[in-house]
Amino acid sequence: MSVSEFDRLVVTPRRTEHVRSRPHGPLSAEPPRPTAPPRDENAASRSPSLALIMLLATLGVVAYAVFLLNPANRGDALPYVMVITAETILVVQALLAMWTVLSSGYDPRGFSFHHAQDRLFDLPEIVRDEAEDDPTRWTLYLHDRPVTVDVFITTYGESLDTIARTVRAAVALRGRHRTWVLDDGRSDDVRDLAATLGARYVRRLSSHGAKAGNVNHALTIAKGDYFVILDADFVARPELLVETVPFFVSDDVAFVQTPQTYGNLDTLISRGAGYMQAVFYRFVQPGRNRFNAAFCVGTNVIFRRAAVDDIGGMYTDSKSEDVWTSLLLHERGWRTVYIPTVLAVGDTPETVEAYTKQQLRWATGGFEIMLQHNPLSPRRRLTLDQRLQYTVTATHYLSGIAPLVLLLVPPLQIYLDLTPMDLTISPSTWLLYYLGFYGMQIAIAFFTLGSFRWEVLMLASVSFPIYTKALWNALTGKEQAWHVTGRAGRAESPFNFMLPQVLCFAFLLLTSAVGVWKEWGDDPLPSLALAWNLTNTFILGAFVVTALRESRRARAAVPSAGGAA
Amino acid sequence: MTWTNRLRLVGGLLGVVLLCVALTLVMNRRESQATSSAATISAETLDVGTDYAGTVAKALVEEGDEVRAGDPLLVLRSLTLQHDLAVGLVSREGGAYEVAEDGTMTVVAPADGVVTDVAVDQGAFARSGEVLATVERQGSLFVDARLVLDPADFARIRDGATVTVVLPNQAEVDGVVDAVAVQNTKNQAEATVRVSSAGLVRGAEHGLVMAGTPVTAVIDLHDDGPLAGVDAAFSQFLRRVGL
Repeated sequence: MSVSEFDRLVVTPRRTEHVRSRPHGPLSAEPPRPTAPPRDENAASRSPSLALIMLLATLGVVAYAVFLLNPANRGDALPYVMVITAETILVVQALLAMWTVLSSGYDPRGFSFHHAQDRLFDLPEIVRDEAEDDPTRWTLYLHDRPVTVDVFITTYGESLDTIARTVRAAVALRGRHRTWVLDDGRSDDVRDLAATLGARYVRRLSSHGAKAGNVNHALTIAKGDYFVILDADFVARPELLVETVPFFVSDDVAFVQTPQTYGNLDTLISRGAGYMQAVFYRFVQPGRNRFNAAFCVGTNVIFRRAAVDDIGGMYTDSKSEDVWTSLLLHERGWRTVYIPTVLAVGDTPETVEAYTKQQLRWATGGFEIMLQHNPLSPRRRLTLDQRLQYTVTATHYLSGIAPLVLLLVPPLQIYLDLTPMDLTISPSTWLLYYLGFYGMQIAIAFFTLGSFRWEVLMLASVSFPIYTKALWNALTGKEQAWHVTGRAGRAESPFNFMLPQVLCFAFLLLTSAVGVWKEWGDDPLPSLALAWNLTNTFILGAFVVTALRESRRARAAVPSAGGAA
Repeated sequence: MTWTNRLRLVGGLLGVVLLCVALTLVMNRRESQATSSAATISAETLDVGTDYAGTVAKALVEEGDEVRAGDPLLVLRSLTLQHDLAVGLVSREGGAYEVAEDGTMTVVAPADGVVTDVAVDQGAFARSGEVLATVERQGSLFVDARLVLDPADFARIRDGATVTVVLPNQAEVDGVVDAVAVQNTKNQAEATVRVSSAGLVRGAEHGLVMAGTPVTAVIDLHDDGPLAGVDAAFSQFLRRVGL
């Protein structure tokens, strides 16, 4: 016989209310645990070995920095400055990230959370309403007062199947709530779907402010105490509200963010992109939590309405409304919570197009903060912890531009004989220093995530045009317009979004050819510059091949689309 | 892919190919040249001396004076010479100097050139065999360049190869390789190249062209690689269009 959710609610001991039944008799023993203890959701972050590996990695980073900055190793001015600039960004970002990860072993759930969770539902009321079999009708209580929760699903032209899956899961969340479909795609099909599945449907006349504007518009209609935002592709688990709402028992919590997890890790792009974010959601965000600087990522998040009202609604002047809203909340003194518990599963970008647009949006948001709202400025009312963490956020995507600078160094040496480092040491000593930095970073990935994927490395080193464009857009305040005039709803060829990468690949390929020709017959061992150039050519080539495969798949899926791929 | 983007792609690829070609030509040019690690303008100097010890009666020239072959430089009075003349040991028709009846001896310039040093003053005693003055032979300026090269590159230095001499004011003078000497330093060829040039005229370029001026010498190495013809054609093209 299966145990219903109600049975579980009844039999689960209220640990925070454990009282002695007989004051003078023997202590009543706790009931024996019926199942194995629950797995620690993020054991690696609390492991002492993490501290050891970080310590070793720090030693490696410092050795590498000393090696680079040693004046005796200085080469020609131009490539030296390029290498030092790029590596400084990478090294500083790596050190700050390691520091953040070290802080990730912190559990934001305290006594008040567990106490509030124990008292979240009112058993007699459930029995009275005969709602034992329908957890969606159980009223949520905080401080013994009922609270109302709205669940917003923002849609913008996603496929009907995807929306249906998300709405169905949202309606089925445990705890009484209202589900709203906020449709910016203005589709009548979505309206009918919402009606069928028991969700409310909101459509607005303008589309000002994109997603943030959409949510703000919904807030004028839905007046709940708390609201959840879910992207159209994020299928929530039933316990989403049960795991997050109790945090609001502390009246300074503005939002509770949960991770984005992805179910579609089947293309190279999605594996790379998803994996890249796994580090962020499993280690960086929990670490930021300790700094009270965890930021909202736009979906799988529950907000306190009063907090959002306090800053005048979601921030609409940026494509990265989520980070900006978090920053404004932190400046007003609100506290934020992040829990690394997976409560909704969605889709990560599968195509070069989706990946490019997503990264461009995030990077532009980061650079906007750096340029328009420097977190280190004394005008900001932030704590030192928050200043540091927002500075990391704002400058993080600079480390995405660093590969561009580093890619240009080997061609400089091949064509112009300008060497960044004047190396008198043997290649193996050089390799040792190099591994001290990069090797240890890979070792950290192995320890924290259990494996290392080369897709991440590939994506990180070929994304520089996106980040450069983001920096440019943030500098000039320009909206990105894509030179794509395809029909709506049809997948575009990935090559529309990766011209710079293709050109860069061609350049590196030709440079490699020239380099091989130059060194032909000289020495059986290629020079360091040529070896690097060949590696870089290979990495960019892998990306081009990925895009070719994607484009072939897209053509196979739409055979009638003609030769426009 | 849209047509605009196809055009952009083709244009971009064309640009990349052109960039690579240009950079390769630059590389090829550098590969076919060797630059000196140290180079100096030097000159052939002639020392003027005397066989007979005596007193300097008159110094007729100063440092920096231009002289022609046979011009008197110094007058010496020598008792030994007088005696030798008297006993008929020497005749008055000498090579490097003229001897007068009274035993005074006039030292003359051995060649056209410039007096770079007068070692004795009027009234001083000059010993036998001493160098009295130094004359730098006219038109004998050359460049002495030292280069450290790979053995393979050393083999590519040919006599008569074109050399570009860059003066301290970045003015360029063309020359040719005249003679090459070499010694082995840590398995590298340390070559000493003598460069002659008609363009090295003493005092030219506001006095920069003179013995002792440090310069940079860029020697064209013999090129028989696959791009040699292309490179030559390209340089010719650049010259044709006036670059």
